Amino acid sequence: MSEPIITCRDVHKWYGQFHALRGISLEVKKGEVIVIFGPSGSGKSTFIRTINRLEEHQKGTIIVDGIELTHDVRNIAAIRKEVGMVFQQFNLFPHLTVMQNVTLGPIQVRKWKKEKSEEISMQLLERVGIPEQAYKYPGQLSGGQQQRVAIARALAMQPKIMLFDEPTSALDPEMIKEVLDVMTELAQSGITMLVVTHEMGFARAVADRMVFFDQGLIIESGTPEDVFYHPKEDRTKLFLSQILSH
Amino acid sequence: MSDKIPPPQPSTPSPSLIPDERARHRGRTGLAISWEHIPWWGIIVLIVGVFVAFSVFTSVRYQDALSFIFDLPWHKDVLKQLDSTRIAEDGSWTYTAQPPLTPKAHYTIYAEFYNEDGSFNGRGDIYKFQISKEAEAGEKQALLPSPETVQTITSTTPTFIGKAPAGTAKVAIVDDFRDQPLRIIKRIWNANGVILTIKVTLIAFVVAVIIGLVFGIMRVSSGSPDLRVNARKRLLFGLLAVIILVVLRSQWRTPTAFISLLLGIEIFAFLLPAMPYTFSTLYVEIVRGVPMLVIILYMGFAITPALRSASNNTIDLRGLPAAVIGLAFGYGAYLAEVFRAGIEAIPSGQMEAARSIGMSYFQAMRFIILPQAIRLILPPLGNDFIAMLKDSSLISVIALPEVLQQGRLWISRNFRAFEGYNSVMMLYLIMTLLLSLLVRSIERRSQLPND
Repeated sequence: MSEPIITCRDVHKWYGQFHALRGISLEVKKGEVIVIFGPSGSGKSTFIRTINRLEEHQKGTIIVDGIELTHDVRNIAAIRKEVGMVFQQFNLFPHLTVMQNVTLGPIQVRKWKKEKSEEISMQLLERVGIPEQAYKYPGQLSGGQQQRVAIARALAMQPKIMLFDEPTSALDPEMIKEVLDVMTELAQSGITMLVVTHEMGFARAVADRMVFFDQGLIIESGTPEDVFYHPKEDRTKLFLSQILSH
Repeated sequence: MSDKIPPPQPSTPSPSLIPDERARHRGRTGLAISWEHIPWWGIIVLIVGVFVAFSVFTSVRYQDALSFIFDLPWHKDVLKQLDSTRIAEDGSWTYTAQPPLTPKAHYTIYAEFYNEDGSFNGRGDIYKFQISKEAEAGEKQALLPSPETVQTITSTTPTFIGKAPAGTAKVAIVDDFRDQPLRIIKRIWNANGVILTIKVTLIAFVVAVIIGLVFGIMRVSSGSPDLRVNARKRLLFGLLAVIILVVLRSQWRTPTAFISLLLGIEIFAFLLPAMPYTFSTLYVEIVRGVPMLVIILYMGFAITPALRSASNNTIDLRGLPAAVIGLAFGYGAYLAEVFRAGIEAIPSGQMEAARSIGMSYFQAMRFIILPQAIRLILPPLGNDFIAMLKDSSLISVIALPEVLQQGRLWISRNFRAFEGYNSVMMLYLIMTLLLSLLVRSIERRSQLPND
């Protein structure tokens, strides 16, 4: 944990008149696991989507793995190779089998051989615990299994950074654990992770740092210990009391 | 590792399928009709259909109309050139083949003799000959009559000489294309009627799908993109283009030409990101608003002659090309809208997921968006295919002998409108019904397992 792998300086984003990100500055070190939380509409999803340019920021700088995000498509392509993303709605490709879903990136983007890609994909599917589903279609799997395939698909590109955009929010309660287990194992393997989630148990267990977002600003950040037990800001206290009391 | 991979399981139908499951399973085979549950109207259609078919196919007049309109090569039987020729004073006839014969083709030639009063006076020997591969028109060669051997002739316009009694001779040359399988195929390919209709529809549909795909993707792009993105780079390229043009063409080296060129190209370069949407929308709105018949007439009688005269007859679109281009151009606009709807129906998360694993926009389109969109748009695509088959009757206005034109030709010869138009309708119905069965089976086959 030394040099920063992601550097964001004063990042602004507008949707028309709406000011979604109002100057976000954040440094993420290599191997760090960061949990981002906050009320809905606070810009946390928007922020992690700007990191791989699914959303475009209009002001400020974002440097990922030494490459600055600009309009240059080559920079964007280079960064997307290094950044994996897992979505709330899984976004698996329904017309491809699980195996094809996972191997598509390595074959088309990394230009690896099909055999090599399938071998690596099979290892990943075993790592997320569903090798037996490799030749089924996403529509035949449960939500938890689909999200684990989505994680394997992102990992197949061998990214340095993984972004998780509320990965358990669309899941039935009994399936949340199987996905969190995979993410916990992943966090312990040393990969850099940015996770938007409200799973506070997960955050407490694996996060190196927690970041609280509200109204497009970082209100507070610190270790889980600090944020949970000694929050400095009133807004953080209020939010924590609301989500932890139910 | 590989021994842990379970092989893909083929779904075997269990014996106790519930009715819904059974229907779905039947759907997978692509058969649209369920033999266990023929509806009441199906039986009526079947009985009436058999009755009509029986009465029609046993009627000589319908047989004639149908075979004329269908226009398979064996309807025309064989190419006959029966020409009167004078018999010379030494008792021989000469005949020069005109129009030229086809290289590599097999022919039979014989003469029929008539007395001075016109009465028939027998038929001469039958000779077989073939035209060699390298034969060209012009050089003439006399045929030495020997009925036993097949002659090879090195001219496409040979002159034949034969013996004859006094009077006149009519010489017939018969094209023996049935001896040559390749030429049978060629004849079928070049046949009029049903074959021409199917050919025009297929080619025009493929072209229209390509046009629709390209313009559909262009229609999906943003109509008001941020013109400032990479603007400097575009303007620089525009300047470079102007400089290259000025260097290449000396007449553009005047200040007025240079400034107008620079202005035009730079404005275009600045607006370039908005061009795909603007241009494709223009195409769709204009072409969709003009009747198909007008497009085909315009193509046949305005654009084709203009292109011909402008290019000194090197670009000649008369006939099939004009018809295909007209149909494809007209239908491309509808298909562009179909493709746009299909692409826009795919959730935006699919594109985001594809981009997030590093795929380019076009890779994502090719591997993720289009395969799903095409499944969605198969029904409207099939619909347009059938509509296009019917609209191909419009090309009869530029005198292409497809089904309708053949039917009208038959009617004008026989003055039997009922039989003629009935045959035309029957042929169209057979084609469209077969097509809709095919479209339905393709739709069923393309369903994903969870749908």
